Amino acid sequence: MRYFSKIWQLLGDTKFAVFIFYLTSAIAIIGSLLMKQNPYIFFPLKYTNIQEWMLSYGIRNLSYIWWLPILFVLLFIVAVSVFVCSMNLFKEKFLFLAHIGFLLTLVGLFISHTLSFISTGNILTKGAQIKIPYSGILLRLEDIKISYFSKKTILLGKAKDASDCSAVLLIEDQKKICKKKVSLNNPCFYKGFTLFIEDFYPKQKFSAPCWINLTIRKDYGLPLIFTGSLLFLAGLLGVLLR
Amino acid sequence: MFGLSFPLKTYFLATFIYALAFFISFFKEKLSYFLLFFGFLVNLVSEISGRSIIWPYCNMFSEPYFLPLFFSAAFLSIPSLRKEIKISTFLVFISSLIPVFFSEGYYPPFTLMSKSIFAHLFHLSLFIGHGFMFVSAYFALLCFFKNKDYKASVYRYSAIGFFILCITGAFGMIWSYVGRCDVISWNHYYFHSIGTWFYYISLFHLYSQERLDKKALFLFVGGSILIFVLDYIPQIGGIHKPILNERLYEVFQ
Repeated sequence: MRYFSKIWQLLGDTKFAVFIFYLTSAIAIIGSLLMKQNPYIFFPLKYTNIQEWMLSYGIRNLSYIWWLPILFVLLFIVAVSVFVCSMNLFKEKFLFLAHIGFLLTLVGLFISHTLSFISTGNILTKGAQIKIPYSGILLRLEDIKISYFSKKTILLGKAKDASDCSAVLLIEDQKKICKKKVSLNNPCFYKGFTLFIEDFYPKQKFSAPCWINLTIRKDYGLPLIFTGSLLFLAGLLGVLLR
Repeated sequence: MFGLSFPLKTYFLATFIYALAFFISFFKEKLSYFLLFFGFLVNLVSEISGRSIIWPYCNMFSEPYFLPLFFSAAFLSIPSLRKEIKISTFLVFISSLIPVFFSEGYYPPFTLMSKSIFAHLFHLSLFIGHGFMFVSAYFALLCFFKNKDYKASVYRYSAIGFFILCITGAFGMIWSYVGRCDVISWNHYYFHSIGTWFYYISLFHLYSQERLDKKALFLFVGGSILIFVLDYIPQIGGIHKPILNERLYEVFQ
């Protein structure tokens, strides 16, 4: 019990927090420099959960990724420390809000990158249909529209290059059918799934069959991340203005 | 509406006016303020025209062009910095000179992914946040070398900068999610931002414990050096002659 209270005291100590923050900062910066040299190892993290990536790409490139597990351990210590601090700061509402918001964001990020469902490489031509795995939801590409920069565009070298891509998806779910529009930087949401246009073809104006490459993600951490971020910002603003 | 070289020409004009403001600050302070303000307006025209040309896409590496604009606005509006007209105009002039000789161009290749309001909000708030951090470091240096008590200003401006950088993070997460299906961008920019963020959060914890003496104000200068090395320098290229050629855009595609 005495042991527990000592650890609790240490985790709630500002000196300890500052030390951990400096260490996290240093590891993140060292990691960013290693990442800059070998970006391709980290690209698949976008499409896989961290544990899967660790067992495939990570384990084969330990000399380049060693900092990432250390960063995760440090972030775990930061999360525990923030939790202890927030208990001690219960009466100071804005500081409490900022700490809890940060904690929720960290938990959300953890859930998002360990438990999310991600499906990639879903290439659809007009009229083609796919099934979202484990859901029974059918997707059909009803229409696709690719716009291009005009021949006379002021942006040199961009003439006839693609400027945007949008598509209309027919979603069939237990005999219910609905239409959703999706475009670059503008995904559509359906029952917790987010559908993104990852890629499309053709990128230049010429006559060729068009297709889009859809990425489907069900991110369980997203609500926590955004709620946490909002709470954190509100708490921080309160601290700034008091 | 504008020619492709219009933002560059107006930017170079602003640099020239900033240079005048600096040299005149040794003789006529009021005229120097006026020139600084005039330079700010010309720089603003350059910034707005540059952004409108590639709108709705976003020029993601334009911080070196934006920083002198922020500095001139800050130095005109913060009374204690107005008193330091010589150093302030010198900083504006030097920061405006860097893109003239080192920038890779006003129009680095933009990606289709930058066609998002969140890309614009992210970059603008990032540049403003960085600007506040630099202003805070400037106050810290004034504290140390001019023996003035600007400790509260150092904290105030870095706290504002930090808050803006946190908003930047929120915009970045949204942009990253809608564009790349993940709130984290798995690239080195993201992780050095995390590093800088943790560096500043540790400073604020130190400050809250009143463990920052005058010498420790250099830690705020250290934060700005981190931003300068990790964020600013990657946005400038090798030294070259000032180029006003419209083809510059194509060269760096």
